[in-house]
Order: sequence, then structure tokens, then C-alpha cells
Amino acid sequence: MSAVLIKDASKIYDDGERKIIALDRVNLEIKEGEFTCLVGPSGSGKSTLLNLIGGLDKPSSGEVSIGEKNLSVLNSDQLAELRLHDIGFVFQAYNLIPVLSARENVEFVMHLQGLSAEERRQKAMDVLAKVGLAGLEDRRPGQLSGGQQQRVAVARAIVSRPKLVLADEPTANLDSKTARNLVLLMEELHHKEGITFLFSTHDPVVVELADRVIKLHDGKIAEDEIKIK
Amino acid sequence: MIVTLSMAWRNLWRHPRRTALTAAAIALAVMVLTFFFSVQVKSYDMAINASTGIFHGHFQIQREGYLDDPEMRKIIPSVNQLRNELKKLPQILGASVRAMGFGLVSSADRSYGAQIVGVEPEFEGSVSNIPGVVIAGSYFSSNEDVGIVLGEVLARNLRVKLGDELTLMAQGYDGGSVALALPILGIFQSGSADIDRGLVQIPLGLFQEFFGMPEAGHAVVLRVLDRSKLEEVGAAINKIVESNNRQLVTLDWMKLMPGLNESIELDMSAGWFFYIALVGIVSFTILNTFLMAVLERTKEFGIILAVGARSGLLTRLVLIEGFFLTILGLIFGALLGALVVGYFGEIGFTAPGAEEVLKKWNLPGRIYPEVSVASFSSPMITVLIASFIALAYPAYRVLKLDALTGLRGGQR
Amino acid sequence: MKSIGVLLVLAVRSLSRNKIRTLITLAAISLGVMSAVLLSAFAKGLSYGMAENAIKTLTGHIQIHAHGYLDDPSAELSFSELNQKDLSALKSGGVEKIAFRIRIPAVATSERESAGVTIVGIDPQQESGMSFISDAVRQGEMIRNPAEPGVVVGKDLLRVLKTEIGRRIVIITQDATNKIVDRGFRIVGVFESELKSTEKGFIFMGIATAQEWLGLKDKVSEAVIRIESVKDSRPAAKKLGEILPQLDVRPWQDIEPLITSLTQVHDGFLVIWFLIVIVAISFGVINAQLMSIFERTREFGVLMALGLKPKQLIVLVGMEAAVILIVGTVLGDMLGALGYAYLNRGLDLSGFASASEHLGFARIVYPHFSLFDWTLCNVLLLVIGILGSLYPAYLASRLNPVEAISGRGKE
Repeated sequence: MSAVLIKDASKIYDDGERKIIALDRVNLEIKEGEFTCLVGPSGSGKSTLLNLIGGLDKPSSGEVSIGEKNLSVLNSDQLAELRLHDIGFVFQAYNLIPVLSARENVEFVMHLQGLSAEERRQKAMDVLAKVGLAGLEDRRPGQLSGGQQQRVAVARAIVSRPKLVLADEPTANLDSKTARNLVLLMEELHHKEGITFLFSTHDPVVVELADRVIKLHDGKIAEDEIKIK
Repeated sequence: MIVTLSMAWRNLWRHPRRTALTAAAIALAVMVLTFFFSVQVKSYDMAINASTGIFHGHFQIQREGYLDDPEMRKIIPSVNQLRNELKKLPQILGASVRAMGFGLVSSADRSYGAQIVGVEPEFEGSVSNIPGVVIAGSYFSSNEDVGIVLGEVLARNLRVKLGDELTLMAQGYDGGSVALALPILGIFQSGSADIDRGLVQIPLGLFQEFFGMPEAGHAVVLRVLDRSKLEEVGAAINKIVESNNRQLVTLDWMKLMPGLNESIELDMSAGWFFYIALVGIVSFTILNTFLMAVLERTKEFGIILAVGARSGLLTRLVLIEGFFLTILGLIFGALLGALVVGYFGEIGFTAPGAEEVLKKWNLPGRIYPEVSVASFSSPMITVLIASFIALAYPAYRVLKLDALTGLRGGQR
Repeated sequence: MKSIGVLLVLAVRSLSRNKIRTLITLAAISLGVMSAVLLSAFAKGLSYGMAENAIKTLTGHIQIHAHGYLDDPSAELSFSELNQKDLSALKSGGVEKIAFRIRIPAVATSERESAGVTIVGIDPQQESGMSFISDAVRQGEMIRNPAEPGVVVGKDLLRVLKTEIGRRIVIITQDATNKIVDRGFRIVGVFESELKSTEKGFIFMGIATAQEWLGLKDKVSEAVIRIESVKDSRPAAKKLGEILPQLDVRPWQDIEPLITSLTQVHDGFLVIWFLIVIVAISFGVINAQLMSIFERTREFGVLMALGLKPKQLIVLVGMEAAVILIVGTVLGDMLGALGYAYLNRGLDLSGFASASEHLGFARIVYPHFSLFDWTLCNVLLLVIGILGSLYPAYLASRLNPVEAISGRGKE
């Protein structure tokens, strides 16, 4: 089954004066277990595409499905549910809630999902260990380095075993060594846990380590290369 | 839910100075309000107690129409029986019969018109303070006493002292003129200029004899145990009165002293104008603070929504933050207010010119405010309500936020 | 400082950048100023209304009596009408008009009832323009010459005595020798007044009639004086007291101590109220400024890197405070003026009729503008507000440019 299925999706912005076609009848399928990245210059539509996949925005026409669920028939509450259970997010910055510790940040989504305190704690500690942050659980974001903050974000994204993790320029604020370590971590998690990763990125490190690279240009898919490893 | 509570609390302290300043503004308003409320509540209470205590009592039973048009012939027959029945009520502290007329009071040098009140020496002290504030001589000891007591202002105006003789001239019950000379047995100082200037008292028996009245009276004066239960007691009194005589009415102090009652209402209304304005100003500060607290976290909120929370969670969060901040201000304000009230409760609160003004309400020149549930709860509830109104707009902004707009920092 | 112009422009632009916050702060300031101004106008209006009422009724601006009369208002304590010398001395002392009266307490009885009253013997010509009575007669006729035998009573007294115009009442009082005398008088006119107590309390008759009845010859109980400006009552009374040391000369404030005290109390409370409002507003302004500074840390860092001195940063922040305070105050004044114009129709307090009887003010209260109060409020607010803004200004000036630019400034 595909993790993501996009059929003829377009996104058009019309402000009365001009029409901007951010995405032009895009067709795309991402299978479960992929480690894929979207690349392209600013304005190519990769952020727009990621927003559509994440249920943060609706296409002007066409269909976007996660698993079997067609996003266009879901209302905003249902989309939130979807994001809660089926999708994980890692953003470029400001991922974490500043007043919560690393562990509490990871536990936060499990709270929303309704897990018991015992379960939450257990899983949080587990996943934080997996991303190599054991011992730092009680630190607040302000007390962690950029790379460590991103790792907490990754931990939070995967703790509920989502169908898909969307990472929007996750390495943009990191130095190259930290960036590489982060992506290697995500690759490791991908292998071990079988989680599907979809990146949007400028970073050559990510491109280098991805299994599939989709190039976007002017709202259309220009290239779609599956690397042979 | 606990996470939300703990997040809310911690969020307040991300900007300690801002939180402290806003809480201080709230505390200031609460402190001012509780202080002035306490002074007001105490003043009203004292004014009512003083005014009812000196002479008028809490209730009076009178013939219907007597209050507006006090004719001597509008008597209460079998008045002793009525007084006894009313005395039996558990909520009644005292009951006494009075008869009233108007006449000319003359000394050797001077004459003045004054109200002549026939009182029951045995019971008058249980409904009026006058027997207890005699500064010269003594009050009547029995209904057989032959003499007169008067207020010290009138005594001064008449240029008389204890033992001097006063002549009373008036229209009797039958309309003819009656005159009587009586020695002054006592001079009282009630604290009310109107009373001390305007009335003289003689024993009821003497009054009935002098005016040629049948054994009857014009009013039964009542003092209650607990003024807060006025309505309840009034109903109990009314039951007895109506079964006794359909032509009688029960009048509470508000009807007996409408000037006092309305002065209190007027003062309260003026007060509320002040208070609403002050609370309004503080509400704007709360609004400003929370608007900023919301707008500066747009990205953060966006991420929380992206991760799968509903906007209801964020709205609740902001409201709880507001609630915590307000409670903080309320508590400090109440503490400060209690301190200030306590301080003035010790040394007394006054203002230049206040003594003269307060005399109109039969009050001494200084008010000693007290901390009470009444004087503290109203201000605190008002501030609480106002702060929630102030939170409405920031909460609305959060409610309307969707993940994408938030992530983009607020622009669409 | 030459840069003030540019700093002012910067101040105004910064304020208009965050329109909502600026508007909210302006709203707080104008609400405070408006409430203070209106309240002062109302309170002053109340006292002035009471004073005017009393003065117009019978008190006048200045009263003259024999010494001791005020404590003992009897016919015994009357004085001879003033001679020509004294009168011209008074005229040069600023007296515009003078009226002589008999005023003593008495008891009035009808066939059915009696009541305590005050007899006022007047000369109708002297009273016209001096007190309310010349225009107050609604039924029957006002006395036209001082020797007429009839009396004019108040409408409420008719009710109390249960009599009517044209009937006789008997008035009992003490004459100049302290003898009790009584005489019957016909009611020829009925007057009405704002306060029932006035209607119930006074009976007017010709002054010559009263003098003859009470054996006073040409003596009087009091003289009432009108001067040009009621504000000068006290100093004028003092001056007149020196001209007439044998008599007791008092300004109206001494005759009506309640009104004077009420005014004092109001003034005291208004000052306290002003201060409270101003402190509350200052909290709001300082809070808003702190938030605005926090938002612009990076911007300030850049400014300082470009060469702006810390002192100038203080001026900038101070000016923002000044601008918002001035605009808010002006707005508040305008709203206050609007409210004043609206209240100028008269605030109807008929719902508190008994209170107005008890305290002695008219049913309809007009606001009274006090330049002093208004100036005090505005000036206090600006001074305290700007002083308060020195705190955030000080904080701003302590920013380290490098930290500020990188976004790690204060807070």
C-alpha cells in the first residue's frame, strides 16, 4: 500500500491581480518504507507539496491520500487527528515547546493521543535513548544545542510510529557535521523501525543519503530518480 | 489537562517582568476597590445602625396614612396588646409604644416649636438609644413620672438647664388647646442634630392625659435582632399586625427614613462609576499583555497544531494563563487591601470636611473599616469578570489560528 | 539636541507600527482621563448646585446679623437698619444689592394642624433679584408692599396644615420683649420651590407688618447682601466686617457649613481618584512600552551600531511615551467634553428625590467645569506617565548592540 498517493493535484493562488500556480497537476506515489527527498529552488513548489501531504493545506484540485484516507473529504478536526496519529513532523526550527523539557515535549503528543502516564513515560524514555539523548531528558530546549533540539523533534515525530515522517529543511540551521549525524540517525531509524521519511531540502547531505530524489521545478515534477544502492 | 495547567503556569514566567507588571496592575485595582468598598460598606452599616438606633427603630407599626399625614386622631387602638404580641416574636429585640404631637415649647426666655413624644419608660430603652445618652439628670424611670426630657441643642436654644420649667402648648385630641408646665428631668445628646433640636419626650401616660387621648398610641416601634434578615422579620411582623387590625401598616426603616436610604443608593451608584472606570483601565492592560503573549507565539502555536492538537487546546491554554495571572493579581490585591483596611481599621479613616458631611447620616467623623466578605467579594468578582472579557479577543485570535498560518508566522 | 526631529519621527512610526497595541493603550488613557474629568465636573456640579440653591433660596452671598443671633435667632437679637454712612461705605466695598429682613422661628397653626416654621419679613422690592421668592409665587399674589397684612406660604405647608389659600392661619412666636404673641394672618399667596423643606419651612410677610407686630420699630434680624462675584464672598465679608464691627458679617460658606464640607470632601476624593487612575494608566503605558522595546531589540541594536547614543535611546523611548500620553489625554479630554455637553442638559436625579431632600440639592444636577481640576488631571498624568516611562527607557539604553542584533537582548 502506498504511504502517500497524489493524483493530479494542483494548488493555485489567486489574489485577484495574478494567478500563481504553485503546483501543476502533480502525480506522485510514495510507498511505505521509502527514504525520499524533494528538492528544488525556492518557488518550485516543494513546501506547498509538503503542506498538502501533511494535511496542513488543501489542493485546489486533485486528490491527496495518506494510506487509504483521502484528505479532501476530511474536516479540520479529522485532519488534526490524522496528523496526530499518522504523520510526524520535523521542522527547520522552533520545533519544541520552550517551556517543556525534552521528555515532556515527546510526551506531549502521547497526551493528546490519550495514553496513560506510565506508557507515555516509558515510550518517551525509550525513543529519546534511540536518538542518543539518554540523560538529557529533563533539559529544556533552551539548554540544548541546535542538533540536540532537532533530535528531540525527531524523537517526538516517531514515538507514535506514524505512517510517515515529514521533514521540512530539518538541517538548514545546523553545521555540516551535525547535519550529517542527524540524517544518519533518521536513516538508522528508517532501517530499524521501517518508518517512511519524506524530506524537503536544499542540503546535499540529505540528497546524498536519500534513496529517491524527486526534483520539482515550477510546480511540476521534473525528475524522479530512484538510486540504486 | 495537568500538562495544560503546568504549561500555562510556566508560560506566564517566560516573561516575568511583563507578568509581574500586569499582575501588579490587577492587584492595584483590587486593593483600591476593596479599600473603598470596605469604607463604604462600613459607613452605610454604621449610618443605618445609628439612624435606626437613635430614634426611628427598624420597624414601626402605624395607622395607614399616618406617615404622610400625621393627624392625632389616627390612633392604634389596643396598642398595648399589639406591643406584647410583637414582643413575643423571637427575632424582635424590643418593642415600645409611642404617641406623637406637635406643640410650642416655652422656657422663661424662649419658645420653639417641637415634636412632643409620649414614651414608655419601661420599653423605650429597648428600641432607642436616647435613654442611654442622657448627659444631665436622668431618663424617666416609670410611667408615673411627671417631667420632660429634651435634646441638648433645644435646651441650649431655650436657654434652660436641669430643673427649669418648660411650658407645653398644643392642640389636643379634640382640637382644643392644651397647656402644661413640666420640670426638666433630663437632657440627652443623641448625636443627631435634628433629634437634639426637634423633639421633647414625656411619659406616655402623661401624654395621653395631657392631649386628652384614649389609651392608645400612634406607633409601635420595633428593634430587631439581626438586621440582615429584615424581610423575613417583616413578614412575621406583618402576619401579626394584619390579624390584629386591618387598618395598620408595617413600615421598615427605608420607608421611615427615605432620605437615608436613597442617599446610600446614590453614594453606591457614584461609587460604581469610579470602580467600573478603574477596572476598565486595568482590563486594557490585561488585553495588551495577552494579545502580545498570543501573537509572539504564533509559530509555536502553529507547530502544536501541526503536530495534531486541536485549536481548542490552545484556546484553553490561553484562557488558563489569563486565569492564573488574574488569580495572582487578585490574591496580592486582596492581601494588600486587607492590610490597608486593617491599618485604617485601627486608626480610622477620615477626610477634611468629612465630619460635617457624616453628621448628616448621624455618623462620627471617622470610619473604621472592616474586612468582610461583602466588601471583598464584589470587587474581586468584578475584576475576574472584567479580565475574562479582556481575554476574549486574544482567545478568539487563537481559536481562529490554523496550523499553516501559524507556521508561516501569522501571514497567509 | 539636533536629532530630536528624527527621533520624534521614529517614535511616531514605531507607535503606528503596532496599531492594535497603540490603540488599546490609547483607549486606556482616554478612558481614564474622560472618567476623571467627568467625575470632577459632576462632583463640582453637585456642590455648586447645592450652593446656588442655598444662596438663591435665602442665604445670599453675605449675611449680616447682630452678634449672637446665629446661635439664638430670636427677635431680641435684632439690630437697627443701617444708616446712610454705613450704606455708602458698603456700596464702595463692592455691595451690589442689600435686603433687610425679619427672620425668627415660630409655630403656625391652622384649624386642624400645627407646624414649626420660620417667619421671614421682607421688603418685596429689595428681595427682587436677591432671592427666589419674587418669582416663586404660583397661586394668588406676592406681597407688593412691606406693610401688607397677608402672608405667602409654601405649597407643602398648605398640605401639612390642611388649609388653602384665602384661609387664615395663626402664627405664634416671641416678640422683642420675649413675650409670646399670636396673631391671625390670611394666606394671600402660595409659593413653590425645588425642595419641599423650603416650602414647609418659610412663611413670608411684609417686613413692616412683622416689625409692628413684634414691637421692633425699625430693627431687623438680618441683612442679605449680593456682591458682584460669588467667589469673592469670603474676602468681601471680611472687608465688610471691618466696616461694621458692631455686627456679625458672614459669607455664605459659614452659613451653610454642610456645602462647604461636601466640597472639601469631594475635592479630597478627586485628587486621590486622579492619582489612582494615573497610576493605573501608567502601569498600562509602561507595560506596553516594555513589550514594544522587547520586540525591537534587534532594531535598537542596529541603531546603536549605526552610532545612536544610549542617551538618545532614552529620549526616543521617552518621546514615544510622551506622544502616546498626549494623544490619549487629548482624546480623553475630547470624550470628556462630549460627555460634558451631554450632561449639560442636566443629570436627572429625580429617582433620588428623597436623597436630594435630605442633603439639600436640586433634582437636576448640571456639570460644572473646573479649570483647576482639569489642568491638575492632565498635568499629573503627563508628568507621572513620562516619569514612569523612564524605567523602560533606562532598560533600552542598557542594551548591548551586539547581543541585541543577534536577538539575545533583554528578556
